[in-house]
Amino acid sequence: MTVERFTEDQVQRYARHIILPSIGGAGQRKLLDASVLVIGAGGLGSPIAMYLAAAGVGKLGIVDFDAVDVSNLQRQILHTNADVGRSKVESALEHLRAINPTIEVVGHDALLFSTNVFDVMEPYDVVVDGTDNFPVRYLVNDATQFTGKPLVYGSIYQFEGQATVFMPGQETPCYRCLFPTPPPPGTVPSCAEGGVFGVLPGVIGSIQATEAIKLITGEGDTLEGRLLLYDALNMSFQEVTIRWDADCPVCGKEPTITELIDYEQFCGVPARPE
Amino acid sequence: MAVTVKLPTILRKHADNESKVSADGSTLAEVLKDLESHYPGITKNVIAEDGGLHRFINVYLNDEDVRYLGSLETEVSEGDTVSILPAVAGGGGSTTTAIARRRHDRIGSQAVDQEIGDRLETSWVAVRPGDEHAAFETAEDRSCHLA
Repeated sequence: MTVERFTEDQVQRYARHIILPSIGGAGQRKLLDASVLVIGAGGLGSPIAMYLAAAGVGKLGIVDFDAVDVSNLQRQILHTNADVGRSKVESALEHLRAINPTIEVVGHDALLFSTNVFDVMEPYDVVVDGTDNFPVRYLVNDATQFTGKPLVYGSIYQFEGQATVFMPGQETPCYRCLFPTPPPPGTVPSCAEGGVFGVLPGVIGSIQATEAIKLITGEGDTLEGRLLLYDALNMSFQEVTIRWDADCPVCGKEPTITELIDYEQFCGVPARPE
Repeated sequence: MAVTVKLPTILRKHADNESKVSADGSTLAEVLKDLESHYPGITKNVIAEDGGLHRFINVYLNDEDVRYLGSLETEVSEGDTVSILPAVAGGGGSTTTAIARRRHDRIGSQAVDQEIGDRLETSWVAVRPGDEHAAFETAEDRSCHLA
């Protein structure tokens, strides 16, 4: 049996993990061998990517299409004032490499659509969703279900957040078991009018990073089958059960959705903004 | 039978901004009816026109989705907690900034709070369930892609 040894830098860098029961050398090795795709370098994506980089996830992919705006800095702690106007991916890569130069960080400067989501996801073991809109959320849910990748879900609205883990496989719930289709416009608030408490994505994103690390190391119980609800105003956590829905359009017994859907295409909005 | 109803942020404006309220009934339908009688409009987007529960808002009795219990006919007991949970996608992109700026320019910071309340009310009411459109009405919304 060959024993792969940590470098001296790794021993020092990850010492607090290596001496920790439930992670240890074996868990740290799994992290170094792991690959995680973080969708979005925004409010949720910031703490997710920063903690996963710091934890030594060997290959970390970051997807975003946007540029850093000064209004992002209230919550998107991966970027600084000096990054305003830069591509978020470029800014993210620089700051993540500054946190941990010993891991591989890969940027995907792109909007996700049915045409590219499989290619972007392909090299990664685990997907973490940091989007804040329904079309991409459904696209990512369906793509991870079709390709059998675990998905760490989180979402935020004003002072409230949600997080869970969706595992591929038979009779395990996915996002469409929870909400089968996107809500009609106006029935739920969209990002355009919601606003968000700046610390909130820090809490939810950190929970997502925690779950991604547990999926990789295999220790502990993840949020699979449980939707964690957080209310920052009342500082309360609540859990509700998520069950596999036999009638789920994607993972049910008789799926009606068998290929990816670009939702914006059938609501009369250009698929690719200029 | 008194139960506690936990309200998501979006519904709190109907209930004096309370995060939880008390309601009476022996079934979920009765509880929601009692809730509506005290806070008119609060169940408008929970119950569909056909009288059933909307699929984009979930209702839980304690920690269980009522769809797996008995939907609106689910029996409730004294001390139970009913939670209402809409799908949410929030974060705020460039559109939010534009809205914030317009509000501030027009009415100043003092009046912005009321305006936000009015806008949420409008957006909640404006669109009919069953509308063929998906969640996005403008290309601008797409730019709020990432929280």
